Amino acid sequence: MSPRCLAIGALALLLAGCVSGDWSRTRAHARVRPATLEELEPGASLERCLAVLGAPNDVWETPADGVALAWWWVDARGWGVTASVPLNDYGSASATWRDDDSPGRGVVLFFDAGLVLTRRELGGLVRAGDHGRRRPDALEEAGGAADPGRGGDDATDGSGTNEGRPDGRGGGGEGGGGGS
Amino acid sequence: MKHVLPVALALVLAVAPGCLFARERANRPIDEAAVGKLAAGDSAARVVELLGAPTDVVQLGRRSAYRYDFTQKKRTGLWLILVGFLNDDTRQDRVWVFLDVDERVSHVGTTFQGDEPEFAMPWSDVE
Repeated sequence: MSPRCLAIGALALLLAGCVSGDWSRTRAHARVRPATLEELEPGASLERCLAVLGAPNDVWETPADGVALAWWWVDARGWGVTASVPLNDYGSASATWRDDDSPGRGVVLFFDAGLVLTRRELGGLVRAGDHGRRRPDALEEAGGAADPGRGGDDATDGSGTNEGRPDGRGGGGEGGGGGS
Repeated sequence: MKHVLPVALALVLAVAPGCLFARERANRPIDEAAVGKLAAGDSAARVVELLGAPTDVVQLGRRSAYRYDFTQKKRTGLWLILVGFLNDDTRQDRVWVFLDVDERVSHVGTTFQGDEPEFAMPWSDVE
């Protein structure tokens, strides 16, 4: 073994107690491919959408008896470095630096009262709790129309377009990040 | 050549304490055959009879939907003196049963991927 290798090994062992790095990756659920989504044009039935995409991760009601279904997935990579230095017998100081990328992306399909697809959105995820998704209102009478003011219907980046932000960090809206 | 085995053994023993394999499960795997018995028009009672209590019930105006899910996560870790590698892979079985205003099954959506998470490293390709 060369002296250089021995030096590197010794340095690694010396630093092991106070410096460490990590590389992590988190994957969850299956990605919806754009080509698959292209099969679902507005006007498609709920049955057709379920057949193509499977069971959604999340379902919620939208105004006027509409329904929104969300499929989301995560493939996030991150790495970080932590340095720790003992200060005295009772404490130490440490600092961590991390770089994590996008939390994930999702697809939301919006259906009208007849369960016909009216709109689809693809974008970055946001946590449902960040935007205060409301519980459904109580129904006042059978057959009564839903209150158009209840609930929200945006779930990705709220832009009304089919594409989310290029960096995958979704903005406003609700629901796409609803977890299970 | 005669040193290969001891060196390999020493390497394995040196690295093994830094390895992590973990599996987390939530709920029971969904019985695909039972889901297959559901048909449009079945009552909510029939749904519960076949699949048990749902994990969630969502009100959709005058309709509703029952959610059933099973989640499995596999976590793999490796720590090598100065650097650590950690990978999480999570997959689900999910079934949504949509009920109409008369509480009859109108649609069923299924995804069965709960047995697909893999023990992998961050650089691995996992579909």
